[in-house]
Amino acid sequence: MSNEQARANETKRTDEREVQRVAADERDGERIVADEPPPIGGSWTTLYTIVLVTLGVLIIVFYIFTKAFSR
Amino acid sequence: MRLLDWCVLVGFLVFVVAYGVWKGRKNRDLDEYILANRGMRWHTVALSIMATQASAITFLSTPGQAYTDGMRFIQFYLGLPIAMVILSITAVPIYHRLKVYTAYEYLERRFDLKTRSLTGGLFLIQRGLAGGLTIYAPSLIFSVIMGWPLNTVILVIGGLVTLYTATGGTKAVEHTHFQQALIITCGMLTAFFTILYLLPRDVSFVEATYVAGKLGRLNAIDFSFDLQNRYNFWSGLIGGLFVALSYFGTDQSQVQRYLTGKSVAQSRLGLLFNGMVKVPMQFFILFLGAMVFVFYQFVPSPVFFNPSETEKLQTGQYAAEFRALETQHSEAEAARQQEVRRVIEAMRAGDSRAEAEADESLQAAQQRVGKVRADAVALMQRNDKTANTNDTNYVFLNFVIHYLPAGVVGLVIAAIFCASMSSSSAELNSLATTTVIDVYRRLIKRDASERHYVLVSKLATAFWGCFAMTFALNVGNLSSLVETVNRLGSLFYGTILGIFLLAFYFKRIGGTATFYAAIVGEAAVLLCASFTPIAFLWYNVVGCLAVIMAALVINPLVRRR
Repeated sequence: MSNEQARANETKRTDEREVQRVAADERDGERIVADEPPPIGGSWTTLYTIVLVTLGVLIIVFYIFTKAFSR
Repeated sequence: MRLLDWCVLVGFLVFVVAYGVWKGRKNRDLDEYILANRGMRWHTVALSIMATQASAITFLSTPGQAYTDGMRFIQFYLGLPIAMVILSITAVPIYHRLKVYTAYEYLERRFDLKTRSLTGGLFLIQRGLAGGLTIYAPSLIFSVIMGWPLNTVILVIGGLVTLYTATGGTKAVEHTHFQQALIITCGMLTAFFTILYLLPRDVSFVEATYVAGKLGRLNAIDFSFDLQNRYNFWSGLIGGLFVALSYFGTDQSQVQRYLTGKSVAQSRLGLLFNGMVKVPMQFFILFLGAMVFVFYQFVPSPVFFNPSETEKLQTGQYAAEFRALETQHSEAEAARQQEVRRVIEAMRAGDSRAEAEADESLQAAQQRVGKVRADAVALMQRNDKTANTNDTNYVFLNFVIHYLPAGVVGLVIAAIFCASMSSSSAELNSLATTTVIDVYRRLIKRDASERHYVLVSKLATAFWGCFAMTFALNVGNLSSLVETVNRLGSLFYGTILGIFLLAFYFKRIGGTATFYAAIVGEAAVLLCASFTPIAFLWYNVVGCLAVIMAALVINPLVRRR
């Protein structure tokens, strides 16, 4: 294997290690969150659901509002 | 403005600025100056996020938009709550874990220096220009409506903001955001209830709402799909989602707000609170504009709300024609008022046939008023080809100074000043942070003391404050300020979002591929903006997807080399 090829392979391995390191950092970030429950609402999933359901309700209310008052 | 209004306005401004300077008087190191020691609780983070986004333009232009175009602008915000959830799951834990000062620092860890520099540079260009507009927009409106000198207003707003932001840093910005949000809320609620009070005694709130609806001002949701339509459900949900993801996830002026959270949970709660409250808040501001519209069904309105353009016509060669149009406008409005009352009477009687007939007559009367206004605009353009024919931004303030009582005028104007200062301070703060962290400390001087970096941060804030004021003092006549700001943002947001999505979700894509893909994405957005008629909200989608697709194509080629 030529020196050039060896260098290229080494660069590729370094890139992949860096990608794995960042990915691991990010997974750690997720782990910290998983260990930290929200001060209100019980779980994060519940809070996310509340936000999205509220949006859905608002869209329906706005639609009814548009239709009801434009008649 | 009366003496009481001046007392209220000056009192609130002095209080906010003094409070900001006092709160931020001790800044020992960079962590304290830039991130307030990462010690903020969720409610401060939430109000700071909201105060950063809600500029004076929001409170001046949005009611005017409802007045002229109805409430369909609300759809622009429909993607925002979804973005808050996505960012809470993805971006917040990553930024906290890596303990970054700026979002662009993360890009160097994930990709390389050139990608960090490119993205930070795009932010500095876009936010630097927007910072000037944030000061210019309310100053222009105040100068036209109140007769205050434009340059003085720019220097007062810009000078006050720069003073407390430079001296106090992020602590001053976030603590004043809290006070400013309270003043803004009080101001807008007072304005709303005063409008209801000013409606004729014999017209109920529900009847007023029906009048607004029948005249097309309550068009909050439109499910039709049209790429050229600026605001419908789909452009709001999809385009708005991309805008919100980019703005809240990658724009340092927002990222810095939730990086100050005491923990991931506090930052997340701040974002989620914004996701819950923002849409109803915008709905309220638009509804306020719709009620101003109803108010003018019973009280004569000017043909055109921008007094400086009106004055040009009144003193120009078409003065006689304009006087005739003013008379026609008064007559058309009087006729419309009669039709409005007929509709209300028919509704009260429960006579649906009479209501339908009155409704038809009302639409015809409204068209006559619209026709006279269109004739006036055409005359204005004939009189002066450079005339600003969009008076959306002037409707609300015109109403405020002519019809609200003493004290309330001062409060509402203080609220608008506060809104301007809150978004400007966050912009200056984030511009200075990016300049110091991503440029100065990374590329120029890497090993100076904390005190040195704090001093440079203060100087950078002062520099960006002066830049914003200089830009505001020299900017031309912009027709629609809300749209200009949003359009400017949309030129860059898609590309920046694409870079961050690659960073978060495409683990095999490297820095070089991302860098070239970003250039391709930005070129795609600029081509779209120049050569296609698609609405600007879609630029965000185009830019983001172009970056991701280009990176997927370029990455194998770069790796092979």
